[in-house]
Amino acid sequence: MQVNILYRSSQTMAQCWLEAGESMTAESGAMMGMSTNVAMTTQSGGIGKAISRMFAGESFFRNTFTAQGGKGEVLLTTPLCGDMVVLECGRTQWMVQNSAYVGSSHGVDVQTQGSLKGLFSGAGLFGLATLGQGQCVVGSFGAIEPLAVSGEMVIDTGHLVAWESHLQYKVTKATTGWIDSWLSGEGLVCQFSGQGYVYVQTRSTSEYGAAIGALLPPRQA
Amino acid sequence: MPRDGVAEFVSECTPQLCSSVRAFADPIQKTGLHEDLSTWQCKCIGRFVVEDGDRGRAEPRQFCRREQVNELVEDAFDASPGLGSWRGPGVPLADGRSGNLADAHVERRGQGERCPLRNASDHRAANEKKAYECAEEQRELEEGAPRALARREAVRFRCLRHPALLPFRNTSALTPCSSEFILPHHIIKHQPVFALLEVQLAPNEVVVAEAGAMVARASHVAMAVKLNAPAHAGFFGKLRAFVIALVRKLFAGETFFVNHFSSPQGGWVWLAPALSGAVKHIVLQGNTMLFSAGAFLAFSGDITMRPRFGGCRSLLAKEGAFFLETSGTGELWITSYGAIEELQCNGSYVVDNGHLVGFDASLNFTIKAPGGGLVGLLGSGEGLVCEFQGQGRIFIQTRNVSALVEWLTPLLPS
Repeated sequence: MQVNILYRSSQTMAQCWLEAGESMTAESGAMMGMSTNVAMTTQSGGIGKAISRMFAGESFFRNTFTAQGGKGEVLLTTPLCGDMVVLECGRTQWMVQNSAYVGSSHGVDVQTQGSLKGLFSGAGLFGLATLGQGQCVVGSFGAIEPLAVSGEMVIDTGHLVAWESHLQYKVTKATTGWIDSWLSGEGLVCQFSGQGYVYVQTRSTSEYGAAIGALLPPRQA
Repeated sequence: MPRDGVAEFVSECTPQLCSSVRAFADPIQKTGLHEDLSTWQCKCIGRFVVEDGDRGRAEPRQFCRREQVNELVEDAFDASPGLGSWRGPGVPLADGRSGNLADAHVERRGQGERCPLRNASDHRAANEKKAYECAEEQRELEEGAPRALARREAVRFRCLRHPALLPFRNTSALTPCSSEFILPHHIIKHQPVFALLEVQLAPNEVVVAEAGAMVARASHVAMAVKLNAPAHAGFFGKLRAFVIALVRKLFAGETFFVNHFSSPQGGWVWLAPALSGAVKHIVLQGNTMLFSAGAFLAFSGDITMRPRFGGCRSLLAKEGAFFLETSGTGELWITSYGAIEELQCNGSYVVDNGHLVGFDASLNFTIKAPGGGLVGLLGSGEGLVCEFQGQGRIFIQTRNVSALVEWLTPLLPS
């Protein structure tokens, strides 16, 4: 699969080119267009897996696209304005924030991983871990910036998109005290250590929602 | 070979001196590049500002065009062959000078293949070439894989962080980490929709940011939550600040507290506003500016902020009853919903109140109904407008939050 990322960084789309017979998986609803020789099948990949995906904030079903009788093209987008990047999986594997997943090539298995740490990390209780060889496309709200972790670094939980899975991280208070952390507006942050890359998004859906939501009239029952 | 670090020169530097290019140009004429050349040069190149959104009109208070900056930098290089001493560990050139100017170029060509620069025009050509290569590399990086990114990292850092290249760069892939090269004080990326502000902190420099604005920071940079009070304020000053913070929270739509970022050895912090919009860098040199609620993102330097009641007229304006009055000396970063346009008011100018971000305190303003009378107020769809009188800058945003809210509200399910 070859992926071209176009119209960065606010109106991004991913153009995925499939070889004949090659297939790929995408988040349900992510497909914007495809060539006619691409067949789409909807799979849950097993009830257990599907349910765990639901817990991870993803859809129950994922779509599989297969190019038949020649090369095919699939165009993918995200629901919100934002950016996309392609993660190369293989020697490096990635942890992906659960709502960031857009699609992946055939060789990549994207598994739901639950952890208590994940609950606080902004990746939700369940994060996604890539496995296998190929590409994984992730999307964001806001632009995506790569951050080279070298030593230690603190990242706001709401701005995480993906990180190399060999990086260690712990979820900590933003400042020394609990009250200060709450007042600072940052709440919990992730402290990363090791050598590798973290992708951050320049906006946070929850902060945006809180800012706009405060201005909306209360919902009538 | 003596080498000045990032720390030394940035701390010596005053914001007024270097953050506007006009200020940058002046010392060249005044000091004539003879006295304490290395320190001076560091100051200027280290602190001038690269902003994506700058279209750089040539008005006196604006930052000047990137090409102009570039010329200044090049002139400075040309005028002083011995500049290598402060620009990191030099690569010896063919003619015996130490010339970091060529580093990036040399490294790209691989070891052992060096590029001798003999005169000013060679410098210029090499610079242009590097800039082109950097742009190419940047394009590759954007489309490329993280692995490839890592592979090119060493070259990229040298290349993009080279002070001589800063004027060429618009959106850089500058990633914070320790570097022997001099870093710019701040960079704003992804303008104007999803702007991200990256600030380099000098040792013990304090950057004050709106609560919740932090995206990432070096882990040795301490974050302290504080009331937005002047540092020298006593108890009553703090009490006053508390009341002001309360008022700000209630009326100005801003958060109660601010975060102070600082570190004894310097560091970096990334900041972003909550809404989709731009970030604009503003230098205060003793002047006063007023900003609408929510426009504040961060500041550094000796700046005081207080709410100013705009009077009954501002109650009518949708921007709320309070403006943030900022005064002092330092740097300020403001944010908007939408892109920020800077207007020069010569005499008078009319701005829709929902689009107002900020203005110079030298301007007087009155709230008016456009078109005059009740019909104009109700029929034009413009609501109220602010009419400014005098000489000064006005900042407006190209989108309006209340318009978004008005559009969104009827669409929500009940």
